Amino acid sequence: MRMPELDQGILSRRATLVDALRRLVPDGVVADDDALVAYDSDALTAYRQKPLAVVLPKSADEVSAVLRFCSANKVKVVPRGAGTSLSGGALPVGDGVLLGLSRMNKILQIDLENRCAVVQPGVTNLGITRAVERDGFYYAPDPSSQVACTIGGNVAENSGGIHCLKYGLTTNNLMGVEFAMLDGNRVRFGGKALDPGGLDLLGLVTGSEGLLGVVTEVTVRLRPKPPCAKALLIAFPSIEQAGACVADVIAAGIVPAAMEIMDRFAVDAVEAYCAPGYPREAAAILIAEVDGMDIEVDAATKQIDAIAYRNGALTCESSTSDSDRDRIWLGRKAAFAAAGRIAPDMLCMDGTIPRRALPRVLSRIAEMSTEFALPVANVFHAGDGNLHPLIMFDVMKEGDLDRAEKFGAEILKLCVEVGGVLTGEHGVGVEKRDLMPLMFSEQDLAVQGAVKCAFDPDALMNPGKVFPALSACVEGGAMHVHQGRMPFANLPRL
Amino acid sequence: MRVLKPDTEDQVVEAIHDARAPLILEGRGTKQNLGRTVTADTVLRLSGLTGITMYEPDEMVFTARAGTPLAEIEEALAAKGQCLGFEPGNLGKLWNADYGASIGGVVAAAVSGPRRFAAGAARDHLLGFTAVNGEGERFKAGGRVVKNVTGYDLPKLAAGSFGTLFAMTELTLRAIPRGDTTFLAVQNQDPADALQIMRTIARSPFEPTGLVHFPASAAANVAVPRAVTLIRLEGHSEGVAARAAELTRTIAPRARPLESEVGKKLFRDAADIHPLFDPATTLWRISVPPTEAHRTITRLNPASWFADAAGGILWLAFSESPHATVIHAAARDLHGHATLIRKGAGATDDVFPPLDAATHALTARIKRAFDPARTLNPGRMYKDI
Repeated sequence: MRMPELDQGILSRRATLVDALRRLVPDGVVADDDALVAYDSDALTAYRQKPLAVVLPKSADEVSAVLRFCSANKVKVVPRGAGTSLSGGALPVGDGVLLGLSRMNKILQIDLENRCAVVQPGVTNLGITRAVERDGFYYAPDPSSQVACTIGGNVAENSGGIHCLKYGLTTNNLMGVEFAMLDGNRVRFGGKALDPGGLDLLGLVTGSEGLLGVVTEVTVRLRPKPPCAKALLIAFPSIEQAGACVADVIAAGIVPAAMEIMDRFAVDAVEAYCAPGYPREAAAILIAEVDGMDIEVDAATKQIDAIAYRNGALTCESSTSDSDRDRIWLGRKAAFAAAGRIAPDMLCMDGTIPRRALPRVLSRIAEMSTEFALPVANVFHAGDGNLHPLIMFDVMKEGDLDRAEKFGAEILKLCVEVGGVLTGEHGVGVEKRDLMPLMFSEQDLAVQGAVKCAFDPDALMNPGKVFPALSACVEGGAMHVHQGRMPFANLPRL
Repeated sequence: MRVLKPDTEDQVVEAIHDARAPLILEGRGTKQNLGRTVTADTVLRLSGLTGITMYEPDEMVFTARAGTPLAEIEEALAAKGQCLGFEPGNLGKLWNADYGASIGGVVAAAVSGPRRFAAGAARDHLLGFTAVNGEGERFKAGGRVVKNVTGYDLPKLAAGSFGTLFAMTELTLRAIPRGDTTFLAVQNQDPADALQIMRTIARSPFEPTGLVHFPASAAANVAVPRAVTLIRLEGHSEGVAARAAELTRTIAPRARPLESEVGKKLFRDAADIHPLFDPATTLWRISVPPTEAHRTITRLNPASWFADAAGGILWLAFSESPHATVIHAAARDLHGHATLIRKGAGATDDVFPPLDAATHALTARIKRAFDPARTLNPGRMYKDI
């Protein structure tokens, strides 16, 4: 992976810059070489790079001060929440500050009457739900890293999760943010009132992967908890039939809260890991959750059951209690960890495809697994058509990482070919950066680059991410993308 | 006024590329009175770009050219038991347009009806688009799947940009299944009480897809004798019935079932807005946190009003409107923002909520990023943007 060339001038001034940062954020600067190791990657661990320094502000004012300083000194800035990005979104750069927001972790206000909460960016996703669940509320987007991942990171990545089939992504559950710009100014987009005044800048910065500025406060929509929820565990003799069942459920006008598929490889892995009691004879299992009033949950359960058997289901059981529902979800939620037990390294792809293409894409992935001689487990948000093929490899084996990345790229090419996209919820980051031209023309990327320039004319925010190549903004705010013509330095790989 | 009426995207590219002076962008032209006045002598009318180019009912997604009449889209979706989740109304009748809007115009103006409360606004349903920027360059953004975080979310920026950034030529939107519907009505004379009841229902787990209040004056205009709060529930028939019963039993004992045809008509009126108010009034739309709704109404004291989204969106009609700065300031004090929808006598140009200096500067830079020569609808939202 090629990253922007290091600024030798910045590197040579490191000691001075660190001193200045220490004055701005006393007790919040990590510059010791050994301590920096803890920050050298996010959850995409194939890439590692120690930052120039880590700065851990405790307040929005400190964030502003750091950004103002970095901007004045042309120091790059990589924002980081909990570092759970699977796409390298929080991968540091060697000549840039890693701005960690985890110490800004206070819930500022819970406003149930207006169904929202105002929180600092370092509050964890699950922390929000924990704070309001005794009042019968929750925050809907639930990425699988929700115990650890921060809401600020969720905003930056527009994170999804199992339940976004019914309740939407982060962007559909946000009301407002306070946003620190590179010049240190903080602006508010949205708030407790619906709809933006002026352009929808809240929508624009959500999912901008830390390339436009830093989220310093978030107002999220809270939802009342549904009175009843049931999970169905359905076994299929083939993954294609499971995929067809999902398409039929949606086409029937049912909107389940979640629909997840796991293939046999994934089922075997979780059975070995936590034994949730999934049917072992199945080539694939489908977990569907429906919520609402008891009576509509029962009705939807019956409908899905019938559709499942029409699609050749072997068995279909529905949860008998909340703890039984937890048991059904246990394996799905442990799938990544379980797969991690089988192979030393994993690449998790994240393409989204139209649901009708599920059978075709899944069989093609199986063929490619043989071609690339790398096992792949499929665990994914089937209702949204959001695939998560887990490609297993061993980074210590010569050529494995390279083959795994090529395999991943082939899967994503296929996703785009069938009308889908490169990433449904993990973000482009560094991982899929060079695949962007599969989906976007040079003109499409130039337009996005121009938006970047409107926020960050010196390209200091999270450099080397999302765009295949960036050159400096030209007069008037436009940006020219010269693919592959920029001087890059190679980033060491682990 | 010169009118350019392209029939193809290439002609849109050509028209904008060759423009040497500002262009007024319009779809079918129903909302030309919404927003600030654009000074230009050429109209770029996109109503010639018509047709649904893709509709996959089982994927609940469709693509239509920007000038496609909204009515044509609604009809196509209805034929498959689907509809637009954000329930855009026919706002054009506020200015006496006797024909319907285009899908491009609806999205560009972010027109969203009562279901916006539950299902999100236009911005939440636009999945992707193609457009031509101010330099006559064609580009696309987003995609055709709901779950997509590839690149900046430009569809969000497109919805509500009023043609100031680019001319959308084709839009891909999601549809939702049309469920069974039940309506409940609560007779309410006291606004504070009505707004309180809506907030209570909004906090309940009964998933209303519409929570609106017609005070007596607005009710009278739609042939309802008294002030009334309406609750709409949609979904599976048994589920909707169960929710209606439980909602009535637990939190709204005064709620009564409302005949389906009446409910449908009143919600259509609530989306269209024009039937609720006397045509001569100046009309503002104000978004506030629902707890501030009553304070907003008492402070501004309109001749008539209407509350959507459990009081989160207020439509205020004035016979003689207070000065725009007064309304904008009040909205800001109450943690919201106001937009002037229908100008009355003594028209003002302060249509959209004033921006603070940093946001204004950022908005100007974004305008420049798409339209450096300020060719497209210059000044439509803000004077220098």
